[in-house]
Amino acid sequence: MSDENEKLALARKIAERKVAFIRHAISYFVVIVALAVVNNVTWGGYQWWLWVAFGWGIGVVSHFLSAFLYQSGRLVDRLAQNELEKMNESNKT
Amino acid sequence: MSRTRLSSVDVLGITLGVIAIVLVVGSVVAISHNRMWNAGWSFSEGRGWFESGGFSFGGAAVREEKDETVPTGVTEIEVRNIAGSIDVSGSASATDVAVHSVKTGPTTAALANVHVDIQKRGSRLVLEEKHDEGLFPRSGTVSFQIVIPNGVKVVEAHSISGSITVRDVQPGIDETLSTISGSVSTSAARNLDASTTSGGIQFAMTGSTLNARSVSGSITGTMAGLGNGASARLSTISGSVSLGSSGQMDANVSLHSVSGRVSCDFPITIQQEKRNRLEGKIGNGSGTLDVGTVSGGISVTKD
Repeated sequence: MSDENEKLALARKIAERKVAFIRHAISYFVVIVALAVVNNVTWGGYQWWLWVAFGWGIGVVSHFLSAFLYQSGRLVDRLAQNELEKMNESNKT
Repeated sequence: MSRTRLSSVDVLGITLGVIAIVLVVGSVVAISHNRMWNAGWSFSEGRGWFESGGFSFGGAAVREEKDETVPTGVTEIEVRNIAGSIDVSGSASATDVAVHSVKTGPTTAALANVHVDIQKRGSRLVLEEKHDEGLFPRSGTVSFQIVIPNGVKVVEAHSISGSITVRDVQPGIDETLSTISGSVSTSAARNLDASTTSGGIQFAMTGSTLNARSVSGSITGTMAGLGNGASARLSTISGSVSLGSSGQMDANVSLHSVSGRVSCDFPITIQQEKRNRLEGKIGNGSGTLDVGTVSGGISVTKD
């Protein structure tokens, strides 16, 4: 029962991270589009909004990688499993 | 073998993430190639940071010059641009109006969006900087150098961010010169209406109507005199006003400054006099001389 609860908590944590990323990404795109429009409506020369797109974009991409690839410890679990298998094999030999 | 099932939230999240990656990579490419100037996104121009000898916004300026002439018969000139200077000069030997326009912009694509529109409407010649409409409309600028022959009676020049100069023209031209960020200078106007927001005004005029307005700049000039029905109104906020005259002055005079001294060389019948305010009458008072500033002195001198 406690194992089931742990899994549920982990699943909830992963879902929360994904939703948080989606919120972050949407606000990123909305603000970047608004800045690009302001930049080009007020003065269409220097495209300064690209700096914001770049800087903030690094944060958004990091958030994406953390929410969808790292997934709250799954990577650690997988690596731990690999290490465990290696240790078992070396013990056999 | 288990297969991971993707929910709609996963698909949305992964899509947004991929778009964010593309946007970051795209912005890196644009920044590293110094292509941050709008060029209709052709990305065909511009120098890299290293080629230009260091970090530099905007890349190389591209320039295009053009000479055009408009046959005689023009008595009025109207010039409008946005960010370039306007220089009008006179030539007694000229028979046509010669227009030398200089387009500058960050890229050739930007230059292609800027046009010099020359129209002759009866005896009025209209020169205008025009830009193609679109999401990325304004990146190039046009400067004008115009040579006018004798016979032109009216010069009207309007700029947003550029200086305006009228020089070496025959006396007797009515001039309307306005800019927002730039100076205004004219050497031989008849009647003059000059205004600028951030810049000084210099003038020499012979007519009966003078209006000169600035916000941040001094006003300096000479006029032939003031008589019946003539008026001279000069005002600035941050700057001094200096007006010289060698002719007859008959005017009701009001000189007022907030934080500067006021002086007048002409004999004046004083109605009110303070350090920063002088009101009265010069001669028979048939004209109007109204000069005001907030931060600067006022001097009316007899040349």
